[in-house]
Amino acid sequence: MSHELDGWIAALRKCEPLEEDDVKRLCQMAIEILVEESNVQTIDSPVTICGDIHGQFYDLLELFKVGGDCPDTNYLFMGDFVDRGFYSVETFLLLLALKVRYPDRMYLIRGNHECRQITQVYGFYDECLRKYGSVNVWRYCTDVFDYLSLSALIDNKIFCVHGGLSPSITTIDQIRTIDRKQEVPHEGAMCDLLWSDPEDVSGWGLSPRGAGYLFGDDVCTSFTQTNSVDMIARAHQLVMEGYKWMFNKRLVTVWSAPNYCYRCGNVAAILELDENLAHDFKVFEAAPQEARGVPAKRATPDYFL
Amino acid sequence: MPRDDGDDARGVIETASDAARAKRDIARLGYVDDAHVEAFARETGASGARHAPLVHRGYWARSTATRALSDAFGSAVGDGRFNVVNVGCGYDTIGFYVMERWANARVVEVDHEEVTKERRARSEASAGTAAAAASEVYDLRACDVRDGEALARIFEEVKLDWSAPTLVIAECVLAYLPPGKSDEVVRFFGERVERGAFISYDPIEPDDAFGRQMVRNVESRGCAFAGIRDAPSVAGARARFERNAWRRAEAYDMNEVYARLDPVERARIERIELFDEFEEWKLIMAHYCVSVGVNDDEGGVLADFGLR
Amino acid sequence: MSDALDGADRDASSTSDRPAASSLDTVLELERFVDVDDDRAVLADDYSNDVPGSSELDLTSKYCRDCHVASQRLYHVAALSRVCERTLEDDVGAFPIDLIAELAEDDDDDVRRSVAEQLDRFAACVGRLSERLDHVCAIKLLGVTFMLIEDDREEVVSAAEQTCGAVASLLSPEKQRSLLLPTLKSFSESDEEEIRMSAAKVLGRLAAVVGVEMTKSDLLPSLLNLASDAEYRVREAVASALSDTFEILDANDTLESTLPTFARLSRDSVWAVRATCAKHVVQLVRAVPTDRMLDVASETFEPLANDVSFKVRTAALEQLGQLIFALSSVEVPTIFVDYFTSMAESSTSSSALQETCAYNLPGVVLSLTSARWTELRPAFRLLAASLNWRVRRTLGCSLHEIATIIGRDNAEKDLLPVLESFLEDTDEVKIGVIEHLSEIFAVIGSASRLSLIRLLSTFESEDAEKIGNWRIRFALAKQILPVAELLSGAATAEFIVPILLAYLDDTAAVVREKTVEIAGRVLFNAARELSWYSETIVNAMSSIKLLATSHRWSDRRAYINICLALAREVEQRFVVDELLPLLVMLAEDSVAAVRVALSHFLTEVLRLDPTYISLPDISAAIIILKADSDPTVVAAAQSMKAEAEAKVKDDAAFTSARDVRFSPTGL
Repeated sequence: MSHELDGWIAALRKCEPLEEDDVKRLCQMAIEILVEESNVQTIDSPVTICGDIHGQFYDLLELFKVGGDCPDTNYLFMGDFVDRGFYSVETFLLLLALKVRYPDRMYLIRGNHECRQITQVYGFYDECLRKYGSVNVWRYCTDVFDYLSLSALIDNKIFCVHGGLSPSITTIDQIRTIDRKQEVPHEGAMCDLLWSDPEDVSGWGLSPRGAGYLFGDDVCTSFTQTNSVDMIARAHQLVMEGYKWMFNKRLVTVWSAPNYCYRCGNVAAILELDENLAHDFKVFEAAPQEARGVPAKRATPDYFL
Repeated sequence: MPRDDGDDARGVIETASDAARAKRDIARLGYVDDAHVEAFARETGASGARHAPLVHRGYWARSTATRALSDAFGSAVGDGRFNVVNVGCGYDTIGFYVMERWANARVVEVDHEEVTKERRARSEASAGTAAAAASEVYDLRACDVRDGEALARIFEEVKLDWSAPTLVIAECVLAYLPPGKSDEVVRFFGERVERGAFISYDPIEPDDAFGRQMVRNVESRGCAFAGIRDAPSVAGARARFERNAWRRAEAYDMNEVYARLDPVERARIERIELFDEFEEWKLIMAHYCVSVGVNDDEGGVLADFGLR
Repeated sequence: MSDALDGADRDASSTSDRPAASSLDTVLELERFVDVDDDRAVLADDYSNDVPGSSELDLTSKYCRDCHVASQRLYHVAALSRVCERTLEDDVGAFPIDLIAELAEDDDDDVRRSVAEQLDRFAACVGRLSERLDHVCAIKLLGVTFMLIEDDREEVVSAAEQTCGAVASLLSPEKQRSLLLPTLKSFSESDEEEIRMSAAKVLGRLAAVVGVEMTKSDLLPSLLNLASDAEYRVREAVASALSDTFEILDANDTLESTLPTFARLSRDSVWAVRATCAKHVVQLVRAVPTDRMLDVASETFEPLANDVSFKVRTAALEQLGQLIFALSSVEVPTIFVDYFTSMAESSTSSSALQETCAYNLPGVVLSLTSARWTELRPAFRLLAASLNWRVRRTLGCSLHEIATIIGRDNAEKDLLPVLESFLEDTDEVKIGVIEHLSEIFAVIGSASRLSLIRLLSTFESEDAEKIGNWRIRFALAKQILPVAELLSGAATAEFIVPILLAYLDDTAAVVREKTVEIAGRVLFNAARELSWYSETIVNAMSSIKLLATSHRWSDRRAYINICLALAREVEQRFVVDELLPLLVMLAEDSVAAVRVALSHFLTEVLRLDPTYISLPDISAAIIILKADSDPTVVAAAQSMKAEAEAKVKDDAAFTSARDVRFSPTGL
């Protein structure tokens, strides 16, 4: 089995998509592993934390060059693997194959784009259709999404989630009681965890995204104190400098898609935690043009012309 | 005869098709009502993949702003004859929009010969569009906007009455011109329009991270924003009018413009598609602006005209 | 699924850009999209209507016809030729020629283009299926090809023009005569300019398919006729097509039949036609008899290189490098070298032309040989001084080739200064030079090598968290070992070792890993000359040992991997005295990746030299690793040789892990 997996990983590293049957098997294998994981996945340091990737495959390769390959380095990816970029299929399947092959070295949690509805609008669905001529691969992958863990806890000290906090959640134990194996709901705790944003407000605020909430320093501090964690690591929001501290370093946003959508001109970052939880950010740029493949789709991103 | 001066406007000419396609998509999705755009956007099959909702919203904002300003202009001067000149018209339907609302409007549209030829051909595809194009108050002329003399000849040929109030529209046109050329174009109209306005929609801010990437990307697509530094900011856009024979000017970036559009309409179109691109939306809209130059007598009918 | 929003909490009118309800409604509407009947649906067909037992070809054919989502349908159209290849038996009746003909008239431009692109594969299928080349399928396929050549869309037409040769080759010569030629003739007489253009292109393409005789008797006359066409674009197409015939005709035929027409076209009144001729001058020169090459080259090239039109001159000069290369068997006249030098001059030529010049320089140097290097030196200097980084980069990437051709003395005199300045240039230029550093080193003398190597010590990694351009450091890391092998031990110790140590601490993992890979060898080579006890080597080893106790797990792992490389070269004694003490300590490292690396180390050294097992430190470490809590560590530890395992078991009988004491550490 691992021989076959190694073959899939080797192909995916070269940005070659797998055959539809292999995707089906890989997804089945992944579900068997993910189903065992808790809503709050426990992770031991050292580990490198990464934010949104959004189908930017060649930039993911850049990330591995800077942070080291898996399984030598342990990784936690905080969701939003698909949509927007040209290679959502290869990106997600590579991460998934690494997860199946090295379940204790690669951790994946769910982002708000890991759902059926958004992927029909923002590219993953279309890409599956274009590359496979059918919706099956999209179906297999979205089934896997339902099994992805919602959050992670590193050494019981660093809480990691894609979006942010929820007014329905005060303790981490409450997260454990959620039934996560479903499409991301439109509201409620599970939705909030994947959609909320930190903001300079006091208490909770309405989110312009239409899902999740805005939460302020007081909410964040209260959460970290109640749950005896040092800080919250999350992704979800584009950060031009790659990473951004807030709330007196009690919260950090990590964003790992450089030159997002091939047009934002931002840099990306990963957060390396050593076995003592000392942190080190590595900031990197998009892979240069020569290092990228040529996507089948029209290459230049959309502007108003 | 092929041009032999090392110049290739092909990429810029194709942007007309890109804009047409986007405008057709937003009409189909229900963002705008536009009876004519179907005829103009060519069917491109599978490679004409759907745009992200951000692009739809942005094109809606730009179209709506232009229409709103033309409506405001028509309201101010429409009891008498007035002109609307659309420079670099591409496949825009704003000309027909104005004609349908204002009996006193006379519309002249100008673009490269390749575009006007194609536009004429496509107009035939729809009876309504063909009829509008054949109207006696409508003129479509081929002209390279960079050539001031040719431009002057066009207006002589169509006998444009400069004494009537005139609205000039340049929707994403000036930035493609070589550096300095846009000043000439703005001045050309500033000197001739005694009472009237010039509306321009342009990309701005080429020097921040997003702007640099934007400039690089459009250049590699063959439609470089060669003249973006003529008016590289909101202030710069205003200044361009002020130094080129326009008495007063205002400009806002598209975030501001968007906030000033009709809130009911805004709420309506925001519901059309799922939207999850807020940071990029703010970024990209901060890199486009609408600027308006106005010429008028003191206390004239256009005293209040502008971006409310 | 749709719980109503709690109105008290979410007041939709609170902020002006607050689409509270909207996202929800949108999301609900999307759920209804799952129903395929909804005509706003963009969801694709889901094959639940597939009839079981249908063949793959049947299914694909159905999807090609029935899918209503454009991208999905295009996928299946594009897959059609592959499906045919996979599934067809000898029954030619099943070849989907009717479907192909239908799709060739489809409304969707991309579908027609896809069919045009696959014509050669369809032709190959038909060809494989039947010995009888005049089969109906082949003829119908030819009909489809011609139809696509007459298409409205340029992409479709050009795809068909490219693949039509494969279809034509299916036919027997008699069929070619009776089917191809009449159609081509009528195309070449068409009223429509586009069709005559296609005729010209296809006539050229088919020369290779129909062979010399038919080319001379039928294709060439039509082509030469079209050379006098009133429309310049047809004449342009003829100029290109003629060069296709050069490959088929023999040298004298080319001279007599086609050269006069080609020459006339190269003096055409329209610049575009002349420019196209310029693009094919090299092919012409290669096609004529050797004793006429120089004449023909001068007569066609020079007027074009001096043409009034900038575009024509550029097109001609772009071919100059290749032209000189083609003429290398004869004495290349100085005038051509002068033209080449003019390309290098930025005041007279575009930067694209300068780039081409830089790109072709090695080939030109090779043709002219090092004896004439002085004639090319001016061009070289101009290119090196270009303000355009692309030109300098292109030049930088080929310095090693030029050096090899011109030899040491010339390289040291002329290339070295340029090389040195490129090493201080922008990143894109630097990296082109660094990637070939060792190849340049191989040509130059040791004094020059030393002067270059001094410059490299500026390439330290940056302290800041920003990665900077790790690619440059990675390129240099790859060069460290081959360069060190060309330096003395002392020079290596003084200049290379510091870079090595700096890169072991680099911010980018890939740079550190590459350095770890080669560090052992580099140190070993230097130490062999200088001895392990010389000051620099001692200091270097000291720095490396510090890695073993670094707070970064990746450093500790690096230590193990460097030791592994050293263990392959040095004696066991050295390993035991110098390296082992810190290594065995890592058997209880808190990070699994470090312990895995140690397991691999032990496996490897035991393989190299099984006597290692008799060292109590080693066997103790093995016992610890085999009892590790991490399954990956255990798995790595398990892969040691069986004899070693047996020995371990014996030892374990006498010694318990807890009682093992490590021998006192050395340095």
